[in-house]
Amino acid sequence: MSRERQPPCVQGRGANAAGEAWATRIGLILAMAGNAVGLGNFLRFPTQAANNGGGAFMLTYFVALVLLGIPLIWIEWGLGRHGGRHRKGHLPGMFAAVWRHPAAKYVGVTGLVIPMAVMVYYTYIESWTLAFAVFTATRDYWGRETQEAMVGYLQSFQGVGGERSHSPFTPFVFFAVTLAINIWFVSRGLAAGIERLVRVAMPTLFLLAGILAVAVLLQPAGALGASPLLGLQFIYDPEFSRLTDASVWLASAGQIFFTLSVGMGTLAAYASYLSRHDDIALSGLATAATNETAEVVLGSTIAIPAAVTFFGVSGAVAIAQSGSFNLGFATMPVVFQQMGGGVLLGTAWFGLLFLAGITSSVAMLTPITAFLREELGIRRESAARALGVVTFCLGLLHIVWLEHGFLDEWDYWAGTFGLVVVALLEVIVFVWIFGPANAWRSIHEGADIRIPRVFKFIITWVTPVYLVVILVWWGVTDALPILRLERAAGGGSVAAGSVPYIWAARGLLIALCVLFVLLIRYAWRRNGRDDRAGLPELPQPGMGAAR
Amino acid sequence: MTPLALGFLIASWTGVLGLTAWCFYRVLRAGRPGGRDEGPYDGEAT
Repeated sequence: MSRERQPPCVQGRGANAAGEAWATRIGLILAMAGNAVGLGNFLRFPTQAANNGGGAFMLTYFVALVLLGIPLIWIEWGLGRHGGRHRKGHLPGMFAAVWRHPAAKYVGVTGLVIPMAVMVYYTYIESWTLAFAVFTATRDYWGRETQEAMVGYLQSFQGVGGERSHSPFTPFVFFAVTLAINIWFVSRGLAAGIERLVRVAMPTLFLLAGILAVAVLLQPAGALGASPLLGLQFIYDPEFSRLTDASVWLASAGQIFFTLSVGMGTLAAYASYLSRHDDIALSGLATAATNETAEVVLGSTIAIPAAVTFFGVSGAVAIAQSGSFNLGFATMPVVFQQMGGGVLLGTAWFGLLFLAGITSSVAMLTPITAFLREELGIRRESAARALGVVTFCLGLLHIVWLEHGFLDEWDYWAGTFGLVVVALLEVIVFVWIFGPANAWRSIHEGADIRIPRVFKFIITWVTPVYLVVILVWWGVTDALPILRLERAAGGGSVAAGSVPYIWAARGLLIALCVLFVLLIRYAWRRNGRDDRAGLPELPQPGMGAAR
Repeated sequence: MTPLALGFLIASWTGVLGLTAWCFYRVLRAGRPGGRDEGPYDGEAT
């Protein structure tokens, strides 16, 4: 049921009084979808599907999408828009706007630490895609036609392993360039920076993915007699016996988390620039659907079918089990060397991954930029540059200590476990503390669709229970063994020489938490905030208030 | 490709593409007269 439309003059003024707003609705949806569509859509999803029962995984994946992913998207959008009404584009402020308790702002610190931490190593990985796009266009690795040779090449670029065919400065240069591009777009602001980026990047991304999917599907059977259709069968053939395996359900729930970028506060930060008259119910759903098209339709059609065609099913199984990065950066370059137009297709593949990466990484800086602007009065350009310097310094540690599991530690605690923690906190604050009726009403303000009422029950009970189950399961099976160094965060056992670096990684994450807590405390005192009284609500445009 | 795998593929793709098409149809329909998307987000905050 469509709502009654408001007069145009009432609609569309960004609620956040930081002087910014989305220029168009399509721009907003593309930015949100760009945030969600990332490297995981094209690398992680197909390997997860192939490793977890194929069609059975898809069943559990769609259940997680409906019970976990889409509800969390609506919750983050609702929380963000509500925060924006109080001029808060960051989770500490959003929590304080809902929960009038001194602890609220400190609980929200997770919404600053996690995007900051993920941004650092994600940009580093993003720089690999830029580097490999250049290496492919210049045929730098041409002639390395085996998986082992390409793994050696990748490790040489990363500065790990024995092979040294790159300058030691190469990864630093590509990281600096990638970060500079990110910071430039963030410093330009929402409409002039991020929205302009996604309006070009997202259609280009879908075009490149479409071209690659068609090119892969048109490949004749490889030397081992396997065709691309066999690759699709490898992903979709259901092993129904796996439906009783809890790990399959948790793997699909984890994939939904990663792919939709929920639990980072970035969706909420983007939504904080909307007013109560702007729709979030339909736009949120459109964002999820766009991401799923990129993941399910395009993500499943490129890497695994290509790997099956050229390496056979058994080869593809080994590749899928060796991890997403080997698939993307070692297997695919081997495949492109054997395909007609391999240079163009390979450059398109890494260009696609770069665009998927950058549309996500620019979002990760948005909550922190909003915090610095709104609470400390720092100009957007200065905030972006300062964050660029901090990100570069922290990124150097990831580059230098990559082989010691430094990046894996941050990826696990911030980019995996931390996402579930933040998502659970968001549900508790926005649904339980704010109240299910208020949350439901808030999500429907200005809505272009009426969400089926069953979702009120799902948001209130099913989603939080799902999150608690994931948290407990991961806590017992992964977090505790990793914390006790019984297992490495990246898999396998912990090398004795890596232990100091692992503790350094954890110590730095804790230091980031402490730093942000102190900044929040300082900001609240500086601005004379009274948590019990609540945050002042901005006058809404069209409500008779002057701005 | 087995019929069952093909069935899962078609069901997944149809569901996802159908939902995406429906969402964007509704987004465009909800826009200003003329179908332009500039409607609800029509400018800088004052």
